[in-house]
Amino acid sequence: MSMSVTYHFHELNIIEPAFSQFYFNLFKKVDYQGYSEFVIKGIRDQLKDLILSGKETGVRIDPETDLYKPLRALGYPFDGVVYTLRELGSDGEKYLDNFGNDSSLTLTPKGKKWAMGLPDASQTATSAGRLNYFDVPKLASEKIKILLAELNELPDLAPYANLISHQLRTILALILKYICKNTLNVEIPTDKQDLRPLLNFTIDQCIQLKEKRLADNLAELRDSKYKDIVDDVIHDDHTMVNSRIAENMMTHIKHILSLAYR
Amino acid sequence: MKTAEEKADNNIFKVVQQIRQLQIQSANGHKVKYKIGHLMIGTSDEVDILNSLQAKGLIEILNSYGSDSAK
Repeated sequence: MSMSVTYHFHELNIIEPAFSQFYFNLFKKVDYQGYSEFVIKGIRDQLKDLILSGKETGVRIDPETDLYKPLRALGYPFDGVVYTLRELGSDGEKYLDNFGNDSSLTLTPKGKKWAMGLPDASQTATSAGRLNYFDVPKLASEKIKILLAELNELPDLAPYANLISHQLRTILALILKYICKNTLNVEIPTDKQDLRPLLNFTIDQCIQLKEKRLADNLAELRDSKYKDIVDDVIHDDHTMVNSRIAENMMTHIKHILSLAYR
Repeated sequence: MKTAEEKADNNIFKVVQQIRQLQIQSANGHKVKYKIGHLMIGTSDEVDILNSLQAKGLIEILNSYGSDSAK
């Protein structure tokens, strides 16, 4: 039985800057977490089908034929699928290999387990023990040491994603103050004490004082909009921060810690 | 469970994001052809969303080409 899909075509003229303003406002308030999870589930189901149908037996997956086309037919947005696949192939997740270097890709052993809903060995080990993710810098203040130790003591990431994200914001603010005082030797203006202006101020100062790696890493953290995402969901009784977002924040903060307390 | 309002927000977001991507990709930056499939996610009604964006003065619909069936 063939499935018929009807398309309508519209030629649009986008009215700037009203559209851009609307887009950015919408991006802030939309449930991006739910959207992302929806697309991830679609990809995961499709990968599971590939494994079960014997397609994925160590051979390469052709993204166009095996993923984009069937997912598009199911109505998933093409760009959402592409971006999500990139994230799944990133260093943080490592579910997919060869993505970006080649048009084809393969599932890693970790990715196969994930697609099939099987527990990952590394996750099983952490859930039985402690998260133990952060190296606590010797030069850090007692306050940061305590906050990092508290995170390291957690048994797992996913059930504590809200707590971790919230704590990471506090840790970030303390790191920024340390960088301004000890690395850059600059005084923080009174109107730059809150996290967002403090982050912008520190990035500007890092650029001026040629602390390029710090500036780049802080700018990456700022541009990823974690603060907006976390702010939107963290004070909502019913919403958890996506554990992938919490994990990405942890990766960023770990890297910034190593640069700040060197 | 998401409320109806949240679902509607998500659907608008998806449409607007697609327009944004097409806008970025299009050669002249402003004029794009937007393809709407009836088999889209959830209950979104993309035509209504486009009309509402037009009513808000965010886009202009220059031409509608009716429908084209693919099997």
